[in-house]
Amino acid sequence: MSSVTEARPGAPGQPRAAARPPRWRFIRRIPRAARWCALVAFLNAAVWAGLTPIFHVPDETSHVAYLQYLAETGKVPNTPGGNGISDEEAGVMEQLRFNDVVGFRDELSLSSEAEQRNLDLVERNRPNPANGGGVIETSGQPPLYYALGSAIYLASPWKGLTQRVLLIRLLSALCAAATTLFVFMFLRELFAEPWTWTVGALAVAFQPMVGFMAGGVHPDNLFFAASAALLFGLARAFRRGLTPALGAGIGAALAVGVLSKINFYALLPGAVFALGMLVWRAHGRRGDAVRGAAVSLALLAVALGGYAVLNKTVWDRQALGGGVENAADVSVNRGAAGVEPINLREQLTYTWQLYLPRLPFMHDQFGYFPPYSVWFKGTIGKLGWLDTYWPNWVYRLALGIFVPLLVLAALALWRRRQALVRIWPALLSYAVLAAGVMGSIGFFGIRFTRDTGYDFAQARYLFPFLAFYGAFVALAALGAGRRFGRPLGAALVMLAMIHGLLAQLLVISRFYA
Amino acid sequence: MRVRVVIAAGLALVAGVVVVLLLLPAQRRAGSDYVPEFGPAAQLRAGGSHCEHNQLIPGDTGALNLLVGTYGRPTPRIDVTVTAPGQGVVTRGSLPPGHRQGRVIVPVERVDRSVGAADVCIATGPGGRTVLYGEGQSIRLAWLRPGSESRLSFLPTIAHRLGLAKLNPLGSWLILFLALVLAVAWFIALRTVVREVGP
Repeated sequence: MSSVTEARPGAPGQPRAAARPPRWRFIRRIPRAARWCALVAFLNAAVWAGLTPIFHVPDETSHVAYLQYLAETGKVPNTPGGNGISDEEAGVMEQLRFNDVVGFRDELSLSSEAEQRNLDLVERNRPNPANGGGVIETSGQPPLYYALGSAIYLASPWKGLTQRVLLIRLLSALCAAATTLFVFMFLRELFAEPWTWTVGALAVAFQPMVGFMAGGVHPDNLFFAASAALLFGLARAFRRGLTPALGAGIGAALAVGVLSKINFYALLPGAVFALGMLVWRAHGRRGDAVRGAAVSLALLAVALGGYAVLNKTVWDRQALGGGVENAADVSVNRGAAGVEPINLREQLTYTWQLYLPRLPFMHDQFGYFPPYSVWFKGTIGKLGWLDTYWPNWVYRLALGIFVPLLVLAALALWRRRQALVRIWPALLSYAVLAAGVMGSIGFFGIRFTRDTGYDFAQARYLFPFLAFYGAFVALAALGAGRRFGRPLGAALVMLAMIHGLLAQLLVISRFYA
Repeated sequence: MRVRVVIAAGLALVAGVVVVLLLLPAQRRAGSDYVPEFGPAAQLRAGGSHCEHNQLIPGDTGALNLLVGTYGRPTPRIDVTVTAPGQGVVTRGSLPPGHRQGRVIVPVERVDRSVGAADVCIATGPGGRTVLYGEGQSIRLAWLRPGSESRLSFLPTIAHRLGLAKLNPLGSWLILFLALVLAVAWFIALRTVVREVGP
């Protein structure tokens, strides 16, 4: 990791200098390769959207319920005791035999014209689409993704729910494109070798779990894009200095993030820490840095303030939509009468074991090895509602490929150890960001598991750090050295493409064959 | 080693894998009654029978996949008869005795088109008790397509199913359209790799 010298316009990865109308200039400033990578991510996600059966992306049923209610009524779902989903969604789910198929690997998705006719009948008769609104698991989420989806819902010339869902899925595909774009830009700030930017970004674009999630109606996709944008903004600020303009970009990422998914709040301590580091390190241009940080935080405050006002005055609910308040309830075990309080030791050992091998003095919290079973296998592919996966030998084969790549990445880091020392404020900030998210997963995970008996963590919870996934792939290629780095980079892109294709075939096999 | 060589090798690998996958025998699910196998649902004595009513028999059905328990003894003869109002016997078939308990495939005469409101009766021949599995009083009926076929020959069926239950003016051609979109994505990606990573 060393600083990147400005490449001349028109060089690989750089925009061509050409006279363009002003409104296109900002697009032209984006490297051409980044735009291609983003387009690839969009197309790949669109394929996922087309082949994944409706509602078979995790929690898609409840995200569609929120979105439909918002589109139909202008309100967020917040009616205690109300219907969780509309009659229309319930009817469609029934005709899709959703509850009979989800979790049952032997069951096909719809397979006959007779079933399709029954579904068509429900969609033509259109039972009440606006009588959802009850409090469900997504109710506490902020509304930005749903609001964008509502625009598509309302603008759709097709009125059937399954038809609208497919169109809204393309919004998620656009988010995947944005994520890939920001990953590219993040890598551009990180690595001096332009070819690594393309390798890392395409590895993300074809990552099957990223594509799969981006093929569903799910606010995680906007959350991932905002997180990637935040990391890009911070990386750029650490390298070039924080300015008011860059602060506005970081603030925009923060604003979109907190309005897209409540999980983004876990990134806020790290973001504030990073802004503090940027101000502290800005020796010569502290004024610019202070103004930049102020702009960032002001945008964040405006977003949160506006959201709180809407919640209080229009939607008649708690200031942050019940999100943070619910989290606080969970933290003190309110509403879980009779459940033993969770002490700090349990909390720490649970969180430790989520990511690291259990130490001898720790009580076993899982009965399996989460770094492999949750994070590794989940990243290689657990599709559908975690009911579509490969035989175990595939994951072992993937591990056999992953370990050498890990060694190569470590080698690349070792070779760049002096540069690593130089950028320690950035690395420390990334560590704080990661600690916030990882800690929050541990915090909620132990409570969720204790309350419900179900496992909590899924690999996608770490996808706010897809930029690091891209960086890992780029580092692995760099680790192969000057002679073999580029061919290995190309091989890793091919590997990602094959991985993605096989995952798509797996979904086809599960639901249609 | 040049990037183009790596890409060519990768594409050759993909082509090989796809060809192998297409030529291998496929799962041949035709459909089911969506009843999960949670536990014993019916117990038949020798010569007994159990019927499931108002069933949808999917088109292209040629066998019934049943989970049976016989307390360790060989399975008895198993007869399957499907009747529908106004159509009489839609299909029937039987499995000779002597199989190990567990999953058994009872071949039936091919049903070309879906049949609704059918009664499916399963009868056992001489032998011991036979347990059928499902949920509550309902047993799981998992229908299979007849014979053996590769994924390639199964592709039209997959294409038809993939085209259902979504915004899709293309019908069974949707799968081809998606393959085309993916091919475009791959082309752009590989072109970008060649340009940015190296020739």
